[in-house]
Amino acid sequence: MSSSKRMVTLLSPDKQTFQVPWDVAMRSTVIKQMLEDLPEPEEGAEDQTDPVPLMDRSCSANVLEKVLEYLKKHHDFDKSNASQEDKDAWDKKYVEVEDEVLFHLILAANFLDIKDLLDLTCKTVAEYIKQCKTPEEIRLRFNIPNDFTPEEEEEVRKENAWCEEAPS
Amino acid sequence: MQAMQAMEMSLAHVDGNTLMKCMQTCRSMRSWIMSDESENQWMNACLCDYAFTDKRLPLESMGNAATHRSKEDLSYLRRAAHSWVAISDWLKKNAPPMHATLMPGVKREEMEKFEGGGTLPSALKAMFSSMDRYRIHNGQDPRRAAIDIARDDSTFFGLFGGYNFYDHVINLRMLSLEVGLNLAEQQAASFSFSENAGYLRTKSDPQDAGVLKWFEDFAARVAAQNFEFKPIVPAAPLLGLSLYPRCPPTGGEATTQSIRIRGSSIFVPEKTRINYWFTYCFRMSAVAALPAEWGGTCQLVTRHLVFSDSISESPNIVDGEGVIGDFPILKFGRHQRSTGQPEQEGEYEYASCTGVDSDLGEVSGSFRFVPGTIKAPKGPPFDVKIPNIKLIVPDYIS
Repeated sequence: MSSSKRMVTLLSPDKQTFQVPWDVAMRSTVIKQMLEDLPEPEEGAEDQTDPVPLMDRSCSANVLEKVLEYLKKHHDFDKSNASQEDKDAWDKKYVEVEDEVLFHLILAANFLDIKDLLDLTCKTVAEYIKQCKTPEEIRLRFNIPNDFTPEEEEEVRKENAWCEEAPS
Repeated sequence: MQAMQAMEMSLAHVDGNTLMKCMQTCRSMRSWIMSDESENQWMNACLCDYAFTDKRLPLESMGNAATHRSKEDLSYLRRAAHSWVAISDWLKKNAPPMHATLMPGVKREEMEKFEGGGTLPSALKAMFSSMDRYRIHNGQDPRRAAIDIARDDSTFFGLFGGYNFYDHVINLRMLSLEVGLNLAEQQAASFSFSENAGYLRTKSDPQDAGVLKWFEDFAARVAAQNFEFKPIVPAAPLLGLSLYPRCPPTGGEATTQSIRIRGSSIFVPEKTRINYWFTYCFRMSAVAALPAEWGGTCQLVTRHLVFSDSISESPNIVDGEGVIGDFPILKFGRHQRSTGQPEQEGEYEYASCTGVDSDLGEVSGSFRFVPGTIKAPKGPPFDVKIPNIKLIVPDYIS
């Protein structure tokens, strides 16, 4: 069976299964390593491969679905020799999601070892962080509680004072 | 918790300033950024954005840092620090005695004293200012960088290098800020660096970053291995940073029949009055064994130098016997002057100078060699091409 027709079943930690073309699944280094150990099925035989369990909780069904959307699309991009602009435009739309989803994607991409997806999502968050002018803005933007004592905060503020942006 | 983990992973893509902001948001982010786990990111940010070379808490550099608060000042500091890192790394590796002459940066209180109520340009201060984490130096220690014949020095300590043609010897030391300020005639808006008597003034731009630009340019050329630590005066043992460049456009090499010619030019501001003066240097060597039927040697007979510039209609052609009165004999890896000294290892080198009418010119031409020696030629003479060397007045010189 040619690998282009071969399918793989992925199992999310919340027990949902996803049928994915072999080549698409192989874009995750972790899945690739798991699949490489499997024997090649015989010609014409029913594909009886057991579901591949993805046991990290970052890979819950809704996140995994979103990850697979990315993998499929980029698989198509590569097959059709899509231009970088097309890819970038699609990627830009793809990461227009709630912070919560973005964070889950980062963790899933990290676990599944999908470098381009990890880069894309991390750079997106990095960009959001960069847009914040002050530590307080970062806290508000990402809902981070300030757990410094007033003394600690003053100390931290002082030690970083020199790099604060000049008032414009 | 998960969100924090994802955010921390994203920090690989932010700059140092953003990292610093993140450090102030909460304990978890702060301890993660300072942890060994994130070391590479923090180190990278330190190196790229602040040219720090070690990982330290921001607190440790607080003392002096407060003076450099504006964004512009910080950018000058980064530029200066980057250049200093390049220069001092090169010195450490190639010229340790010179590295030892670098002085610590000027402390904030001292800087205020030098300024004496006035204000020095930020770009200038950045080159000399001490900040604990920046490797910035207040020039060279005048006591250690002076050549003391009595001390039997073997080094020309000038950080900004040197050159020699005929009896003209230049050794540019980087003065400390206080010495430099005393030398400047006018108010200290432009910094001068000096070789015993004369000094050079760089163009003054609105932010007075001219001197910093010059410094960056110099550092970039040092880092690009454009210079060598070698005898400044050929045949004398005094080593120094030779300013004759190795790289194009003002440096280059060409090889003909195993004879390699390396050429370089330098603008000579101290001689420039009406037309533009340049010194040029040619280093020649046999890079492979010469034919046995030549007796393994060849000797320079004549020179054919073509000087052109951007405004003169026809080039100035110089044809003459030998080079500066010498007819060197080349052998694989060795040379001998015809003036009587014993055979020596390494390439033969001579330097001369020329005046041209425009600030952009070129030297080309060839040297004619005879197989064997002039007294006992072993074949017809042959021409060895000279690499084309540009004569360029740097744009930071006023």
